[in-house]
Amino acid sequence: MSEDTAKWQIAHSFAEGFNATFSDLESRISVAAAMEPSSSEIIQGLAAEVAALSRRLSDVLGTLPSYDQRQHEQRVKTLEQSLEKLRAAQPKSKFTFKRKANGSGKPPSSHKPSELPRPEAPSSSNLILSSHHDAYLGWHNIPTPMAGSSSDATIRDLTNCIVNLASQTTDGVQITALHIHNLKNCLLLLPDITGSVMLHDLNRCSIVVGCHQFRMHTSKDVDVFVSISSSPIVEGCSRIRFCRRPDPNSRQLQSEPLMVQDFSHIRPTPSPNWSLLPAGSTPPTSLPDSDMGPDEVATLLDVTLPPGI
Amino acid sequence: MGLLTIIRKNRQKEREMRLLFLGLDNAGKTTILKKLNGEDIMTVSPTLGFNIKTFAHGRYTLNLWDVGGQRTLRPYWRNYFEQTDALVWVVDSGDRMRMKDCRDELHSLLLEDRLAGASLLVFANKQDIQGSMNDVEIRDALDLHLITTHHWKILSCSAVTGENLVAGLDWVVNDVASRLYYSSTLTSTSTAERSQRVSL
Repeated sequence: MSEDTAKWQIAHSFAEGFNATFSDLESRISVAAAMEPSSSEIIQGLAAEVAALSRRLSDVLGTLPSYDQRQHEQRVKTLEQSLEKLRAAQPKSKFTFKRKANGSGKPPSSHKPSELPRPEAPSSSNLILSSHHDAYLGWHNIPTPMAGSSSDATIRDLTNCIVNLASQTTDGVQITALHIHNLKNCLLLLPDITGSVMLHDLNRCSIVVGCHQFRMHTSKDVDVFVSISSSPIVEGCSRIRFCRRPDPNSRQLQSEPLMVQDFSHIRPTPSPNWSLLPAGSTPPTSLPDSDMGPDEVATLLDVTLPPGI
Repeated sequence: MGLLTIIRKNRQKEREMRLLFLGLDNAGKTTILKKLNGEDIMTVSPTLGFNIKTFAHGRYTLNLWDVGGQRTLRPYWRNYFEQTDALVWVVDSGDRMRMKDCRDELHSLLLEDRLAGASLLVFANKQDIQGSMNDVEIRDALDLHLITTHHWKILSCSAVTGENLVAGLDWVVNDVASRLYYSSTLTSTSTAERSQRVSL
């Protein structure tokens, strides 16, 4: 029995140290990936540390429960993969940076083997707005919304765009769930979503939305104006600013400050990854319903988006 | 009297089952629990940590454990494996982009020794939302047919409308019961339960 307990304790303390190092390396790799020409010195340094972590794991081989062992191995593998991606991106970064309008949204260097077998086409979700740049987008850009019904929606792969879905459509489509992926320099004015909003990989954006739940992953430099009855959460994010959306059909919740939770900072200290915008900050809600030219879009984005770094 | 007999008798007396609800974040695990328990589901926040609900279901007492599914929380799932009678894997049927992620997490769980023998119920949640994948599509996307180590079943459901939630629990309870309490169910089981077991 005592042997079991000891084993459990070893596994436990190992997992703690391991996870700490893992998240540290993970965030540093993503930082390195964000800086356009990542220097080879940094990459080599990171590679050495990943290798050290992997050695640490093989040192305790056999003493860990098999599930832990596998989880840890997987994490080392993800680190190695993202490092590999970083390396591959290095010489090509000039070409991958400027993406064409109909690009898949992923730089060509990201041909990670684990991403290839993806049988399910994300395209069969109902409302989709994807692959635009330098444009003012509205309901008319979304193909075939089903009249008078509710549906989930996907917004993905946009650069330098203004998305205005705040005004109600004539046929009254209700969005019940919203998935947002891979946006850069975008302003999103969204309607009230009855369900949850999931966001991945946003870079320098402003979002105005009402929803039931709000989860943001791996994003940075985003201003969020949200009307919500639960706690918004962030994970793997940095420099996110939150503010309650001024709500015309005001509720009593309005006055309470937002309780944002940072899942990558589960400690009693306040998270360094998000902050509250000063009370009274107003989102840019009044946009023309008509079309805007690319120049106007660029000017407006310049004024409204968070500074970024 | 062997140790196993003592354990079995003990559990017979208690008639408790431990169900572990896992799945990616935004799958609707907490909402399902709250709906089953008749609580308000409009204020559910993403789970930082875990929830436990205990309630009676037929002749059994169910302990439902719901652990947060955010990526940073997944390493902690292992702390909840011990003594789990059934794993309920909840899927957001509208989240096409992360189906592969979902499949990988599920299949790596099933390799865990401490979950060996646990029944597996897959809830294809959020069927109330237009555009969601149906249970057949999810079964294929998650490669459920590759699972040979666990009794499994997939049910489409909706935590918002409550569709199929109780039916899911029924299956889990019957499946676990037929395994753990075999001798006692054999004598006292109702015909409905018996036919259920046969159909498995």
